[in-house]
Amino acid sequence: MDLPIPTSLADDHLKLQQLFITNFENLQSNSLQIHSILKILLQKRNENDFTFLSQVFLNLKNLLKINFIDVLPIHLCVKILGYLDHKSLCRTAQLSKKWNLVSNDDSLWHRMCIQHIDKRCVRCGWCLPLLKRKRKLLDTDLRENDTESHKNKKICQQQTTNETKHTNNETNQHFVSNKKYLMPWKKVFSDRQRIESNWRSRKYVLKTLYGHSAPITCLKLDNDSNILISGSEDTTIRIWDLTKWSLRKVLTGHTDVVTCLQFDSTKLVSGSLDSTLRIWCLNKMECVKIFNHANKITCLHFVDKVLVSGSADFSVSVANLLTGRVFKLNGHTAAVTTVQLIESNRVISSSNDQTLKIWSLDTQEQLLNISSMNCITNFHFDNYKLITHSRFENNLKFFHIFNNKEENFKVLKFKNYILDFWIDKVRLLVLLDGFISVFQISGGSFESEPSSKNAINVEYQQVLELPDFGSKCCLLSDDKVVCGKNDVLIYDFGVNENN
Amino acid sequence: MVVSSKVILSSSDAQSFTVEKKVAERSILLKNMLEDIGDSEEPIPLPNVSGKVLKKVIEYCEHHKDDDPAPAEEEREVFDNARSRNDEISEWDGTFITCENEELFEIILAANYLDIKPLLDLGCKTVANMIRGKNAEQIRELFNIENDFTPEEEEQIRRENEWAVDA
Repeated sequence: MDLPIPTSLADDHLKLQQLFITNFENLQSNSLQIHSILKILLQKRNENDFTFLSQVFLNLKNLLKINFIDVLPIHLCVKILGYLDHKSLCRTAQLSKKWNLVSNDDSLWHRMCIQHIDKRCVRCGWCLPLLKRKRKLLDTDLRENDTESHKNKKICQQQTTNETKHTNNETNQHFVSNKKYLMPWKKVFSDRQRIESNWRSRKYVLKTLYGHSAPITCLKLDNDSNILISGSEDTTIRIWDLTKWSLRKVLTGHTDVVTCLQFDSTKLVSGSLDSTLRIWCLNKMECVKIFNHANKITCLHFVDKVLVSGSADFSVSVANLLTGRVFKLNGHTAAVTTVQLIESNRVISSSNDQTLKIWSLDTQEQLLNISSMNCITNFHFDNYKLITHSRFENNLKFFHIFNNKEENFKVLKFKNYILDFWIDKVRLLVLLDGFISVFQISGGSFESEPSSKNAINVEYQQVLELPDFGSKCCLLSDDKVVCGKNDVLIYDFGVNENN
Repeated sequence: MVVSSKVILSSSDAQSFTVEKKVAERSILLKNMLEDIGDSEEPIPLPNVSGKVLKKVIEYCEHHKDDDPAPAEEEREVFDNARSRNDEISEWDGTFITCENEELFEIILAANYLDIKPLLDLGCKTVANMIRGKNAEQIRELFNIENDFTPEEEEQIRRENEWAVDA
């Protein structure tokens, strides 16, 4: 309540007296002693004392305000602050030293991370990316004997120095001497929050990587190592280091357009219109094995030792990289366009014969056949949600697949032809003719059960339109959009404005 | 067991309150205590709670005596997550908890001591609501918080927390 301090004694005393008494009445619940002191003061008053009394009252009122951080046990203070959002917590951290300590409490921020990272917060609707790379680096830091750990530790230390640059030397020493140091949860949260707000406020840095002399046909990015690999119509494969934004290596060997590629921490597999699949060792940066096929390779996918590829000769080939055993799945009646391994025993394939098939690798039989009205160029499948796209169509089709059955179906329409698309938990990226549309999940189910009929009823809202210059393929990661015709364009949303 | 059995509670300032057993059992502390000692005519001393606050706490327990029992300890984590989804305070609770800060913190302490989780939640939520949406100066004013940072420290902490501004 506001109590104006009278500036002159000419103020209406009666009014003041009334105001004072009302405020005094409100105070009664506080403390009996103060109550009696004020009572005595009031009884002894003369009219000119009101200015003084008002000030006494104000001072008392301040004294009666309780800084609960000093009074309540810490676990109760943490509980109270646990009801606040991150903005309020960052504000309370700036109030005083003790408030700072409690507001930066690791358990508070841990809960904040649990509520927001990799899932949509039920309160604010935000979903922050997992950013596997950084977590992994910190994990490997704990493994002393790992050969990789020395390299990683360096990067990790750099990161940590960065984040503790504002804190005192003691904390830094603490880190150096204690190898089990983990990133504070507040930092984990703020890193991800920054990326998500960059997406939402459309804040990005555009980087271009030059090298290919013909259009890029395929792109893959590994967040762990920050390595981007591109395949092109110029028959080369280029390996880019996104930490330094530079070219690391050009792989030559294919004699025709590279159509598809995939890599893990040790190997790269590429497929080409020259009818070969090549396996490259990423340490030596050289080709270690060539699989010769009868016809053009259009697509590939591998998990561990199982490599699946699709060909223009309508077949799907399954190779075991360990035993060298190869067999073919026949059934499509036109070129296969995309293949994907599901778990270790099923394969899903799409084709220009306007069908999409799920195969069992154990029995080598078809489990499901979905007919479409058009050639299916590309699809995404995450165990229950299947999204397909046909070249030169302006819609994406969402299927709900459960127990090898097609349960539900819906169509998402766009204003232009779709050239490529990419989807993750939070966003949908659609490469349209001339620009890239970024969509954010705005409603509907987010993490529904695979069996739920609502599994595909997700609503998207366009949040961003990025210019594009003739790209044929695109890629979406937690903090990047990658596309490009001859040059690789990278829209980087991981920018830190403090740098 | 007689349904209408009564329990006598004695506050730190020796005020006695006779309440229904059901009402007293809203407090997990009292519930466990009553299970241990069985029915008794003896007043239960509560040396950490003043008569004024105990009266208020009993008022709350009276109103909520027919609510579902508090979940067991192991279910609390799940319950916590579900609860954190709604910050809403019912109308009766809102009116009940409207009081001077000093009393509010005394209620929180009493609820913590007596282990009355819904009342503790209500108190903590109310304090959090007082903080939410206010700027630093307003919060300092509200709780009479002294800014004990040096200007350098203040600037440093401002920079550390900059990322959360208008995101």
